[in-house]
Amino acid sequence: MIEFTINGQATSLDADPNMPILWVVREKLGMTGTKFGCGIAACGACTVHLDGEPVRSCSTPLSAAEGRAITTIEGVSGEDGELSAVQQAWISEQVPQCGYCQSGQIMSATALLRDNPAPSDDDIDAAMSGNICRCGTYKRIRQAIKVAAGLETAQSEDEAQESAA
Amino acid sequence: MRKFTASMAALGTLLIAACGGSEVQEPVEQIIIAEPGEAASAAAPEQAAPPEPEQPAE
Amino acid sequence: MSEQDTGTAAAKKERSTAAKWSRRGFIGAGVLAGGALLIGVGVRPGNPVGKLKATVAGGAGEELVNSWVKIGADNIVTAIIPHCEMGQGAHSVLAQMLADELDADWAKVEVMQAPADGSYIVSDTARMFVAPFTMNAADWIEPTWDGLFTQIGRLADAMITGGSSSIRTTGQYQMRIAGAAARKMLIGAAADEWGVPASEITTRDSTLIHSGSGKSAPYSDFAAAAAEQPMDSSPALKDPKDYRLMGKSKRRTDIPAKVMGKADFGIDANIPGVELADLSYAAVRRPPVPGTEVTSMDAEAAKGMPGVQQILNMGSFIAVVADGYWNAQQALNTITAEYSASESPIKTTADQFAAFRDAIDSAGDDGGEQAASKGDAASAFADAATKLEAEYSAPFLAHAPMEPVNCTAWVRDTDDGAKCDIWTSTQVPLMARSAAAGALGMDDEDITVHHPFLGGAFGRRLENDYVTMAVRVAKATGYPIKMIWSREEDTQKALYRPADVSRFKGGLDAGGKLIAYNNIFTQRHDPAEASVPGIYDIANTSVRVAEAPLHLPFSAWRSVDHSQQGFFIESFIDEAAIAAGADPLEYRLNMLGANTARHKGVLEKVAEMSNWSAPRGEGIGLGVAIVESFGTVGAEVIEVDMTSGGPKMLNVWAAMDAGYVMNPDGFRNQIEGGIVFGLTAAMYGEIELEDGAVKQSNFHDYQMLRMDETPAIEVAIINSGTVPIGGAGEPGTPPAAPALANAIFAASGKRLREMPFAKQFA
Ligand code: FES
Ligand code: FES
Repeated sequence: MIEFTINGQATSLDADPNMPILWVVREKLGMTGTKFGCGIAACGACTVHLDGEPVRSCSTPLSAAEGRAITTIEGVSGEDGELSAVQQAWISEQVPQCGYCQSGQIMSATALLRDNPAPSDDDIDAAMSGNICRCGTYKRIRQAIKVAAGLETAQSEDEAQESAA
Repeated sequence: MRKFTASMAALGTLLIAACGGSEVQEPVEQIIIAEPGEAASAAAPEQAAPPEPEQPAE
Repeated sequence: MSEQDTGTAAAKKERSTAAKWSRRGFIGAGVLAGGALLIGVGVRPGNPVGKLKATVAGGAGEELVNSWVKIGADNIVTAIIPHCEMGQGAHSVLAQMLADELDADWAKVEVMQAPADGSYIVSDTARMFVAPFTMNAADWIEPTWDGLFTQIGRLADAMITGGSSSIRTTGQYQMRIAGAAARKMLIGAAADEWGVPASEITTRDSTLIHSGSGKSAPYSDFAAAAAEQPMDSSPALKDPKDYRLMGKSKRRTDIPAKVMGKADFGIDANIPGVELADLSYAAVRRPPVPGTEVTSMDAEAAKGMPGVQQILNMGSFIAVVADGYWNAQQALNTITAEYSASESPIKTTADQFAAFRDAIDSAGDDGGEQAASKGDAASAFADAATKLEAEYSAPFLAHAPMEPVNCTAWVRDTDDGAKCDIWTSTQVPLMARSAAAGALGMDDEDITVHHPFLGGAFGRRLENDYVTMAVRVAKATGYPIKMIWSREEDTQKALYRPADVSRFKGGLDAGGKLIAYNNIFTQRHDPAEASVPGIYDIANTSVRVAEAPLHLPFSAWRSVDHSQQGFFIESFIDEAAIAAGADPLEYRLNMLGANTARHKGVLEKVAEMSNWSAPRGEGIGLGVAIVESFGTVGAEVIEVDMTSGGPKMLNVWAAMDAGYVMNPDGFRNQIEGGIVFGLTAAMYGEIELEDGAVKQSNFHDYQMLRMDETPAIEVAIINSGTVPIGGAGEPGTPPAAPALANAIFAASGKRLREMPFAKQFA
């Protein structure tokens, strides 16, 4: 039995302690917001928080979670279901394309902003370069982090309208 | 019309490529060790809720 | 908007265009009319809408007005979208187009993925690619083309998402007409009930209004009656000045779920009625060399591994089925196997490139197939004042969508015979169904394809190799399995953007004008015009294709042939400009041929955005490229800093003319992504061969551009009003690599003729 909390919920599981947290969360607990991208800690799609620190769950065994707290994308919103500032910025800046990498991006960005409420471009590069977005939404991720940090104002719905040239 | 025919041929090729072969192939070798559920090592809580319909964001 | 508006010249023009769309588009006298396939409206026996109603409008009080519009008792309008959502935003934008013509309240519009049913084939998409010239066919020929394409579409299972086509074909020719027709039917129903002329009824925000009598009612009140109304095959479409949703940056409907981790992708499939703990997972391994088979396997160690349920040698691959993906993959990793010998003479990257060069060499000065020809390129070259010769090359590329290839399948016996359900991320759900039917020896009708969001595709999910594999395993086990490919399998055993070599001989006259253009290469797939420098006025042109063997199987990769040809052609034009001592952007402007107002527009715009003529510091340079693809003309300028040895990209400016952009912010997102995709290939993209197998395996050796290397990107949209409108998904990609190569030359004097670039500075 391995005991840990997941998104605030105490859980105990009789599972292989060597199994990566990614597969425990997805296949044993049925939470599919955390994604598989590479399996070798090279893409960030599987990022979750372990006691608040971002880790690559594809390469972190369940045993590492013993007695600790796992937070996944499903646990990022407030209790009442209100989206976090990061999630709201992801919507206002219309960040996702396919969206597959975005759970991991949001987990990395959330950790960054908690430790560093006003990150510079270099800080963003350092915190986010472990997360690949094959759709290429980096520009919007950067902007959304700044919006979530209150460094830039959110794009309103019709702002990007173009007049015919 | 020639162009049309050529393009049709291209579509045909695309389809054949996309659909792959059509013969039914059984396994060459099948080793059965356990049935699903037998080997399951952890009890599962409920399945994830079905997705909500897409709606315009606020 | 009233039905009868007198209108301006512009409105008349729009109406005449609308009439043209309708003919191929939508509803016709109760039969399957062109383009929109099943059209139909009335829910009555014998009408396919009856069957559809059960699938797409099963809820209480829901009415299917026509195949694309469902209205619920709560007045929620559901747009039923035949294209897949893979990040391109088509679900939202197509809904916007339909909802605008329907005068629906956007806050009450929902989007539903059309089921994989023959009724939702995308015939206009098929048509645009098979025979684009018919899109503006003479009026008398319309009915013929129309019927033909519906038939072809059905045969071809043409429920396709690709070719940057959703908005410009389905949107323009089907969704708008569907919305306008549904609106007209609602008005008709209300007019009958209220006893007032239809022309006096207006609509707004999903409400029918008769101002004379003060009556008004939500659409839902008349949805059922509307379904019985006659169907107009040519409903009037809105004039652009009346657009309320089209042309606006409405937020995408799929995004909220994607930021909450609630969006379901193929890999997240749940099987109704199957407990999570009972679902089985398959890890698979194909032979490393394409075209070979598994001849024997040693699975002793795997048999005792945790959770393993079955081990299968399927001939063309090995599968391990276990209680979880990780257990399955761990067990698979212990299996050793022997494979049949490959018949391909190509073992290494060098062999492949030698095969390309051999083919080009043996084609000589006039062999191969002529792809384009004008004047006498050979003698013009012989007489040229300045001669240029250059050879470019591009490697194989994998698509590497973020969601690895996967497919869940369940083949089972029921009282009703054998049935199969498939859950997968696919761009071609109906072709997936046919592929599964072929592999199982079953009928299409007994197979249901569920296709949720795609975690990227870029062409990879136009193929059904993985669907066939999953259903074969599921048939062997008899219980549901979720097959997931490791990233290594995804990188090494896929289908690829082909490598190629392209050789040029060019001649300039004494004034520096390019008057001879001789080009030969070996890979021509699609679109046919990608290799033709058609936007330029070059007096003597010869473009030839020599046939060469390809070791890895082909698949369309974002922008297809433009992905290599954009680099080849726009690098060569740059070399010509340099040889002429001209400014590369001016040189292009001066060389533009007939009908290039849009090309001139984007070049001038991108010059202004980048402040092109302002001097840059030492070691910093600008490069430009222009490519027309999928109906959109795009020019990009890249600014690169070479002072630290390798390329550091600072800025990208892009000016894109797609005619008319339906959702500017969504369009920009696509172009930004297309640029990053193109720059990733330019800097790092390379699949190499070793012993006949792919050498790269995962993101550590098949690198992607990341946040810290991504330059600032600015995209300008030019709405020139051109019809038909252009695509968004692909056109951002082709100009990126040549613009970067040209910028590197400008900054450092080093001309890069081989992709990728980064390793050339290592
Ligand atoms: S899946 Fe864990 S880092 Fe890629
Ligand atoms: S949004 Fe598709 S990979 Fe990032």
